[in-house]
Amino acid sequence: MKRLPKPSVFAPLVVSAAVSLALAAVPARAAEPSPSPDKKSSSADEKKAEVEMGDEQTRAKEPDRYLAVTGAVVHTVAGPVLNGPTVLAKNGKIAAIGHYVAIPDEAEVLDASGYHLYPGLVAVFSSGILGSEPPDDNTDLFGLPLTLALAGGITTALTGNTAAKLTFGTVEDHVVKRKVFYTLRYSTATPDDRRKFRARMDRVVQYRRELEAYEERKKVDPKAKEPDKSWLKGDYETAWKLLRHEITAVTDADTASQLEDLAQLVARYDFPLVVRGAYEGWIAAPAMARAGLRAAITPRIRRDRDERLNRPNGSSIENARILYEHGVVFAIVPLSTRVSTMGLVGRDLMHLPMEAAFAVRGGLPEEAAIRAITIDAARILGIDHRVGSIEVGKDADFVITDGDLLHYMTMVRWTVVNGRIAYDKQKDTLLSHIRPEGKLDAPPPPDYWPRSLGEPF
Amino acid sequence: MRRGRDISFLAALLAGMLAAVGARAAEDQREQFVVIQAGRVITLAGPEYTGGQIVLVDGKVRLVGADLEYPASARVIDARGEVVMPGMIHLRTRWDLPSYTRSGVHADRNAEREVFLSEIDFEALLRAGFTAVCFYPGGTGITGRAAVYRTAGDEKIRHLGAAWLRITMTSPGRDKKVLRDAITRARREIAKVEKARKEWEEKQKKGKEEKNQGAGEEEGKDGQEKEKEPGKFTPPRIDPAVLPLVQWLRDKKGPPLLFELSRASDYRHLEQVLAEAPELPLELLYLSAGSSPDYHYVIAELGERKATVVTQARIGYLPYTVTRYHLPAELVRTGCRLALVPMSDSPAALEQLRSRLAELVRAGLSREDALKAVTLRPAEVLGLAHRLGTIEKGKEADLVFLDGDPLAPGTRVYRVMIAGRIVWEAPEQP
Repeated sequence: MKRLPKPSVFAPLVVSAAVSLALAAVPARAAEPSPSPDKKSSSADEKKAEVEMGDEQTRAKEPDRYLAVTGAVVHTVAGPVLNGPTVLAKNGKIAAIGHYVAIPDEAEVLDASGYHLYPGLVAVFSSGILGSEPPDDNTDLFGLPLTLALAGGITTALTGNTAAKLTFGTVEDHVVKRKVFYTLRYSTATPDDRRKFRARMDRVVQYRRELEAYEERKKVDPKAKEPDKSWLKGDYETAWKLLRHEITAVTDADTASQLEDLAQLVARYDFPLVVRGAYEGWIAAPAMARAGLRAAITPRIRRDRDERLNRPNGSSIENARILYEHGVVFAIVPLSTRVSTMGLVGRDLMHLPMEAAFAVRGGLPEEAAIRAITIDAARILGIDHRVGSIEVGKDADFVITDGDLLHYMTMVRWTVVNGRIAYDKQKDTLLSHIRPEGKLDAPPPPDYWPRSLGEPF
Repeated sequence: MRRGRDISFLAALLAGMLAAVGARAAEDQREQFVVIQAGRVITLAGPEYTGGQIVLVDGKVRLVGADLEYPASARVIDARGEVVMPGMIHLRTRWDLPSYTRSGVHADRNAEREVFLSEIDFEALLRAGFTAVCFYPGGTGITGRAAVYRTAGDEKIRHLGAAWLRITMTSPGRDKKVLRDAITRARREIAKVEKARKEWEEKQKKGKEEKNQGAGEEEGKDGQEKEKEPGKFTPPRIDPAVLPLVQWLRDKKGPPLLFELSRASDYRHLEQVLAEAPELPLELLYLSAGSSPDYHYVIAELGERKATVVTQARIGYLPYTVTRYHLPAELVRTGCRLALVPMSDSPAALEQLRSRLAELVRAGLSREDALKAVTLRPAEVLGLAHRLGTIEKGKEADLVFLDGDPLAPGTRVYRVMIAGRIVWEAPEQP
């Protein structure tokens, strides 16, 4: 059975304190992991291939694009916290991390002394930041929601069913992964859906047995007949992919009984499942951990205890801590998965770290809280090979803050996406007047209202 | 005596009749020379003349200047209290046309099909000083080609031809797909023709070989057959809905393509699609400018392309700020060629255009650029710069007579001349 490592076990250290530029080892730009679904005709595929080739050629002609961030306290998430190394990005990927990294002359250098550098935050659910499906055709690349989300430190978000980068002003390397989730309907309210899903899973489990038996038989009898798979399409194909861990299922589940029910289902068929909500996860944590259920939780959600039920119930501030201690991999999402200048301040995607900080209040270790909005969130989306931590070879997505990410005073100073500065607090009219250059006692700009950055640029 | 007088009377009568005929001929001759005595001539092609004259022959400008000599027989239009400038050209309108929504690839459509001159009321356009208008086909996607008409005049000279092909990118989620689809279809058409040509060539080769084999036997017959078959390849019919794209992709020339954008992001999406078909020219853009356009993000790139940009004559604000952003002036500064259109298709917007231009000039756009943006630049975009757009030797006399400077407040259009004839006069003369 595939089990994910517990969050307490750090991935092996891949941080290279490179003495010189060891750039040759940097892997080439990874192709999109899954083929785009809308390309059906072969001619379209050919065309796409041509285009990509063309891109490669033009890229080969273009000079390499470097960005060096120096002096920051680097929270790698994948390993230790490094004090003031240089993080060098080449063509959108992290090329080197270390104190003695030679910075190429043509590199753009960001002096971040006194700032903290974290991997770009990952929002496992979002709406309104990026365009609707397909985001690479619909996103307003200069839009306010995008800028606001970047000001909140988010660099990757799921929109519709596509994980995409918040690439401000460019469509290059926008989509990270398409068809991220399969939406599972397995509620007691719809027993028919439950039955059908189990029947499909049973059928594909049966098929797997047949296939294994066939493999064995083939060794002795080369004429062995392959099991029939003409039925393996549509929902059955999805079930097969689930069984093979090729896709991830997602479903909403909040109460302990729902969670335990799902844990049972996963324990029976062993497929990757992410539950949204899970405010009673603190009760069902043992079952969830045993089954390998993953969760997207909102620590600040509140459901009062129902005294009539003769069992523990309701939400708990300790939810995240208990899940963490049981080894359940979870991501943290705020109550509102959009960015908005309306409504309750601090409960939208602009304040993702605040949501994580609330989990810390409930006992979750700080590193685990940061993991829940970076690497673990990336893992839930199945894109942790590209984003979520500061490691050589991964995408150069940074959020550079003027303090501890989880502190309530902290503001994002720069957000870097794919090695490009996508947000600069001082160059944006939005928040530039608040603590300019990180100085607490700095006076507000003279033209306090109307706010302006002087001459139009 | 009496007889003599009679004779002389008769002679005089005859002479008079002859003279009348001659005079009529002379009058015809004279009719061709029309001189406009103007208070001021804004030529937009060189100096402005105060107290200048424009000499017209056959509806075309022969000479412009001050203190010109012209035949005494010339008909003089006294406009000494007036300012004469080239007629304004409205580059993008659906004036008086019914709204039409269609989407998809329709490059074969043409706004001409929608325009019935008798049904359109050109009065407001004339009053605002427009001598030509360019109607565009409505809808989204590749909607077809625009059509240019003069606002008045003889039926024969009113239609000035087809103009740009309209391609919208105002909603990339919808329009990118349409454009990509069109490019794919155009490529397929090209491949189809190539295939047919190859097949035909092979057939020809085969035919020749056969003929060579049987050349000795039936020489005479072959000669006859050769005459019957001229040996010319007739390509299969190309889908007219994508024909202009085929022309661009294959021959690298075709009708001008006007891409419509609604925000800076659309430009990025358009660039992405056109990277797949670099033969299509990204030279002509219509930037729909709301109250807070965000084109400042991409304006430098537009300048680098030396693009011709059509936009509304207005000054907006940077998004979510109160910082005014002078898009037209910035476009000129970065090196774009600027053409301006009124804010909307309402009579008020047409009337307002000159005062909008004045506002743009006050805020930093040069006067010349502002005036050219509604005269010469549209003419260039429409491929009519050799005929219209300025007051210059050889160009057609589509002129506007105003009672003051075109950019001064309160200035009104008095007369409109099209192809040398006054076609409209303000109902209330000064």
